[in-house]
Amino acid sequence: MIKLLVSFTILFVLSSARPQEIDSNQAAIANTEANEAPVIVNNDASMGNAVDFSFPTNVQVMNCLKKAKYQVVFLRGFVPTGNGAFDSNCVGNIRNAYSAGLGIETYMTPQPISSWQGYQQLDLLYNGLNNNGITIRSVWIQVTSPANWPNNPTANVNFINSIISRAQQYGLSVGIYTNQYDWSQITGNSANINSNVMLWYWNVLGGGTSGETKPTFADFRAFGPFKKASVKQYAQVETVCNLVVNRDVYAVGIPAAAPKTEVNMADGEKIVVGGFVGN
Amino acid sequence: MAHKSIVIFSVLAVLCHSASVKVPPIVDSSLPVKFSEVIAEPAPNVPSNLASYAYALDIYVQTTLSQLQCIKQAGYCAVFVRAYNPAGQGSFDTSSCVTIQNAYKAGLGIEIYMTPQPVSNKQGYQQLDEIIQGLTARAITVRAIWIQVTSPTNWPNNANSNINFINSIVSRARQSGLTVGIYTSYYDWNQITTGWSNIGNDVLLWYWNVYSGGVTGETPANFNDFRKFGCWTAPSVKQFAQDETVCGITVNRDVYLAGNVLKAVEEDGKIYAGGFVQGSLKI
Repeated sequence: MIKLLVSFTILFVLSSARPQEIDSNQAAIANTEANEAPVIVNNDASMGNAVDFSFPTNVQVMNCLKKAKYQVVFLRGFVPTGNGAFDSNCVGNIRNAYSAGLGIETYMTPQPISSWQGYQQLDLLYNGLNNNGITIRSVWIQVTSPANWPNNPTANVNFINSIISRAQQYGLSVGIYTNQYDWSQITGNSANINSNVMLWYWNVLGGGTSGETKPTFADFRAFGPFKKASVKQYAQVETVCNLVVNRDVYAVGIPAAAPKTEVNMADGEKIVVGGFVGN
Repeated sequence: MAHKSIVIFSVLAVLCHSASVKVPPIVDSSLPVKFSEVIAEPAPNVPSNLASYAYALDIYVQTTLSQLQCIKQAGYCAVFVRAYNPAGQGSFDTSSCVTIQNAYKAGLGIEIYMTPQPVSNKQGYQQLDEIIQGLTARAITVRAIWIQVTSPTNWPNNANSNINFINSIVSRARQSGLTVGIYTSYYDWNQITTGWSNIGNDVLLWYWNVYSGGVTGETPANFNDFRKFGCWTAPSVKQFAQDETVCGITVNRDVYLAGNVLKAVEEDGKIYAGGFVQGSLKI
């Protein structure tokens, strides 16, 4: 039963966009069967642990994640399907994460080939969350998978800046989820993006536990506009609490406080998310 | 008692072996070469006491005999020379002939790679044909070819079409009696072919992994960071450093298993391209 659930989860995740996005029409994906992530041994007080995922899940899983020593979850709020759309799955995920007392960050996987401009896509995310009683303070923009971007660095930089500007107009902190190679491919290694943008970078040797790199920033090298990193994704496609996730570490600054105990959601209560991972 | 000294000796041997000679980069102001993003610094020296890996460079600029002699002196055993330029519709890189001839005179092993043009009106096999004809006309016998499958942004967003294109080259290579290898990374392969795993287990792998260009972006010069992908369970070559200078030219640096390295200069006086990296010569 669990095996069935895990296989189904894997198939569902593979068919939907996630960090390390793969074209959902291709079935012959490199056989990354999600194996179970190692248990966290917390011996570095300066790093926090997080997972990122987009699959809808329940409050039990969120409680399990918290017990497993993950402090923050990065949840997808925007899907690139078609012209791009608000990811309504994030509403339940955010509410459940909030109830479980997890820190919450939101990321968007934008659609660079769309009739919506960058800032319009950010608006869809922002309004989608607000309409569901969720206020965000920060947003992370996914800039990965060069195959899904036009071969036009200037247009791509303009698109990214359009999102950043809009987010900053709303007073949000902005971060980019990318790495040196993605950034070089997609933007021509541009440094011309709006200032004050955080970096969430990724480095794995492959999917699964055998492909992990160290959960530290030792492999970070400055690139584009990024002189330091706030988050690193060091493991992809593993299971934690029977959920297929990617795993991350982040530098602990002065995080906004997550609720200390489980919270019972009152009707119409507003949730504020973001700001748990910062400079 | 003897036991203990064997253990200590072994530990010391391992430590000596793994200590690489690190030289702080020296900026040579006479260097004219300047890349737009990375100013290439001199590469660290090749360690003198390595047992299992041989060092190589991959280059795409025309290189002189004295530069290649310098490269050999510096401890490099082979050079991977680009024989196809993807600009426009793609074309045979005629400067590769000069580099190959000079590498031969310098006593270096020679491999050739092609950077194909996947959005050309020329099919994959036609692009390979251009290389074989071009080199054969200069009395260079081709025994192996490495196909560059990197930079997803330069490939169409169509895995099937990319697979067919690559297969066209691989098939032609086989028909021509060449060993064929792919120069790529697990991420490139995933992006460009969605992890195609049916290319055939006679196809070799040259993979790359760096943290960034330049000396500070190198990864260790070994295969320890290799993880299986596509149909590959073991690599033949790894590019572990990009955009550095060696002997005055900007290069990338590679290692390959030294095990069955053929001697660089064949007795028959012919120039061969390919067959110097383990597995790249069919026996």
